[in-house]
Amino acid sequence: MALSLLLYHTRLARMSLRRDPGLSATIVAVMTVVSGIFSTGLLHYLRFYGPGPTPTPALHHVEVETAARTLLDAFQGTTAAPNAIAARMRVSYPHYLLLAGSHIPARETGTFRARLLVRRPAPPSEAAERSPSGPPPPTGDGAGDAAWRCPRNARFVNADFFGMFGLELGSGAPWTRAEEAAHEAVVVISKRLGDELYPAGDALGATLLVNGVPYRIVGICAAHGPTAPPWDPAAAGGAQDVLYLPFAEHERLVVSPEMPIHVSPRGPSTTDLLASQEIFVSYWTELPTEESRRAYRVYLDRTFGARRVPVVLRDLPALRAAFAPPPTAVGFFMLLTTTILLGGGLIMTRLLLAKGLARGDELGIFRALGAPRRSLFSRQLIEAALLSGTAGVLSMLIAGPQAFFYNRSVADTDIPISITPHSFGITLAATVGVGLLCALYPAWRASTRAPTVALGRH
Amino acid sequence: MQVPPRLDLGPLLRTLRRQPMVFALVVLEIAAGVATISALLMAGRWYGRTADRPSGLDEENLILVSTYTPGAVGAGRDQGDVAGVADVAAVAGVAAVERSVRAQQEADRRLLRAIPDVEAVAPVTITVLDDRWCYPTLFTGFTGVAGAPPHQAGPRSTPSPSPSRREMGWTVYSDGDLLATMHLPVIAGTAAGTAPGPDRPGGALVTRTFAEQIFGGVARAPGSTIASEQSGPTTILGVVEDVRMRMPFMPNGRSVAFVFAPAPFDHEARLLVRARPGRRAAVLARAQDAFAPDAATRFVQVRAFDSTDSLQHRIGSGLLRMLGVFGVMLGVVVLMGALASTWFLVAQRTRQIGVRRALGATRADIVAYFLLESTLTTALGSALGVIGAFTLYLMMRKVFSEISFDLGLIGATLLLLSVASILATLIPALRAARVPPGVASRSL
Repeated sequence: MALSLLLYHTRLARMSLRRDPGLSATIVAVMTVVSGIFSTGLLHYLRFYGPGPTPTPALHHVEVETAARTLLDAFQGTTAAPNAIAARMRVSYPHYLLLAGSHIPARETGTFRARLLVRRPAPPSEAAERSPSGPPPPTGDGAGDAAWRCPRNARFVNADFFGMFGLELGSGAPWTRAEEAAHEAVVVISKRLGDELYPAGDALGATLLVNGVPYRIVGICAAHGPTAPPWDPAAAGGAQDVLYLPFAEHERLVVSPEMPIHVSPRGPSTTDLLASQEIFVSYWTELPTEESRRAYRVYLDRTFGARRVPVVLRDLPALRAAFAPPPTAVGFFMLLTTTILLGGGLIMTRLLLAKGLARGDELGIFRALGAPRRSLFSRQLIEAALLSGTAGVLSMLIAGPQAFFYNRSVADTDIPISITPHSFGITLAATVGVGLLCALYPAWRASTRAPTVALGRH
Repeated sequence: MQVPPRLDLGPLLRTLRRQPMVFALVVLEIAAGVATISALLMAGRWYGRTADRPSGLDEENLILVSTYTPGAVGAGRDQGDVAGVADVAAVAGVAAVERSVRAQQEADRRLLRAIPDVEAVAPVTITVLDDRWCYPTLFTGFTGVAGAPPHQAGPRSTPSPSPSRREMGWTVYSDGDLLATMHLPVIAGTAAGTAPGPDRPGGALVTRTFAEQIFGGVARAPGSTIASEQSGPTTILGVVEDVRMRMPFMPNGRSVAFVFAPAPFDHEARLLVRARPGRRAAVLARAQDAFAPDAATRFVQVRAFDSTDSLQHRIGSGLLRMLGVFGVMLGVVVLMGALASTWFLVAQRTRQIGVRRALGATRADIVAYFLLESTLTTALGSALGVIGAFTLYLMMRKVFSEISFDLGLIGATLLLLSVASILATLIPALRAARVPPGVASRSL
């Protein structure tokens, strides 16, 4: 019954729209433009703040430090204050594994980013001609690049990283703890690198040269890396990590975090480290129960308490609250484009009022023939929904080229912006929502007009 | 003497009272248009300036050579009993790799120096052309106290009892060839002593902005000491003119400390090469040839130092174009909306216009009436819009460093929207003015 009534009103609304083609077209044109601009802002916003990997709710971040003047103190009150946590997380030197002896069943991972050279191995014939002082000979898996490309972002993580942060792989699987313990030369690559180096889709199981060292590809990420990864807020907005390597491999490749604190200790032994007053360690652990959390706190206190080493253990929400992300240009443009959409809604309101005036006679006749106010009100709203819905769909004609232009000409990162069903749905819902909101007053005015006023003119 | 016609606002105010919502909407539309277009233009100008912001370097004969020299510890090493902590053998392997990479980087420099028409070559750890991620450092200045040499004093030691201000800046590790390569004029202090020796530490040169921010003036910096989280206490030898070593999106891009000390180990290295005047192209070609054999074993990029060929320039100019397109589209939307609704509202008032014409109003009176109505709403909307634009500007200040509330842009926006509004009114008003007085009586 309700559906048939809706269809009836929709049919009438469509007929009404055809009576004022000029005003209807203007409304659609205006809303298409503002909705297209809104959609462009939304694409950027979703790339930055949109859904990404879902970390386990039991995720906890641990920081151990003894520095008298901590990074936080250093950055506080400066323009770079929000980067304090980022800088902290980038000094997660491997010493965190000193704490691996807790005997508390927990998944743990350290993580830091560095820059590495990657390429496919050269064809065997080319490899044979290489200088003996060059990188190790490739295992050979088809045609490769002759030259190294520019350094790329690479992340060193432990086997538990993928599960803890919900980073999904499109094919293959992360390396295991056993493979990591055995120092297997394995690597998980990003979708981006897979598309770039293995366009035929034959990356899995292939060999990749990382700084000249061959690694076997065991997994490929399902999607582009998040623009603001939860495991490293400092990486927000930059180029994505194109490969993930077992944590201990940084030793083999002789790399350190891209943003190290140069005065951090790099002592050769555990004794050196523990004797130092410069310990700065950060890592992630999964503590799913209150009992495990309590036990872990006791463990940390026991390990560091005697040395009066401050230790901070907090979950992800607490970490985010402590280090709120700074406002970004992306957020500002989202606000601005939303304002533009609402401004377009104001124009739509005015045009709908004009439409209501133009159709005063028709509405008066409807009212004189017994049409209830609710019916006229609903029909006006349906008209507005049809107009703004059309504009919402057509807005992709603006957002699409804008995204194309942005990816080609601006390309601030290697993570492209793209129209997705998610972004399209939000644009459509927002445009129709604004259209309906802005139609409330004109609909109310049109439906409350006394039939005698309209008919009296005749 | 001719008496000027009295401005009669009565009919206008009566119309406004009859349709307050319509006029409120017009005012809000114009306000939203002024605020959003102004914000877009301000952001666009900021991006445009960012794209073209000079590096402060004499770029004309400068070349940038970026290298990445890989190196790996041999397989089969003992991982030690504590996972992840290098044992002695591994550390020895790491040290050997570091030595090897540093030797290659030094060989690169010698290779470049040997190229004819090369004036000077200097290493730098960051440049304005880098697209890699790094952060500024917090520096503390200690006025008039010579600090301990870098890498000799403890990083947490306090070199002076009277620290001056703390401010963010950028550390660039280099050596004594920096001035000859970058052509940086020393404006205070001296450039002597920039080359570190076995028993003599190199000091630091800081930019004018750095000196002003930390020490409150250029003259006070030489002889003072700076310390940061990334480097130990270092004596300032002199002050140079401002130079931008990081992308302008980053804070304090002009606040730079050139520390003359060995840079922390990195596979990546950057060498600035100064060619003799007019010989950059030749040096560039020779350098590319010289490094060509290395393509299979490591990454080497040789390119002209041109800050318009950078990520910041591409982002800035691309966003400037994009925001410009948005601004034009918005202007068209506002004009289109105003034109459509004004056209209709004028048409709706045909009878009223006819009555006024029958009562003696001339065509000019009718046009003037509509223009006055439009001017009033535009003025109100513009006033609100400027307030809105200022509110958006306050928000933008948190995101866009050094953005300014550009009155010129606001004025241009107001002018454009006012003209658009008048045009949108004038065309239907002229049409309305042609309504004959008889129309008023047709529906009576």
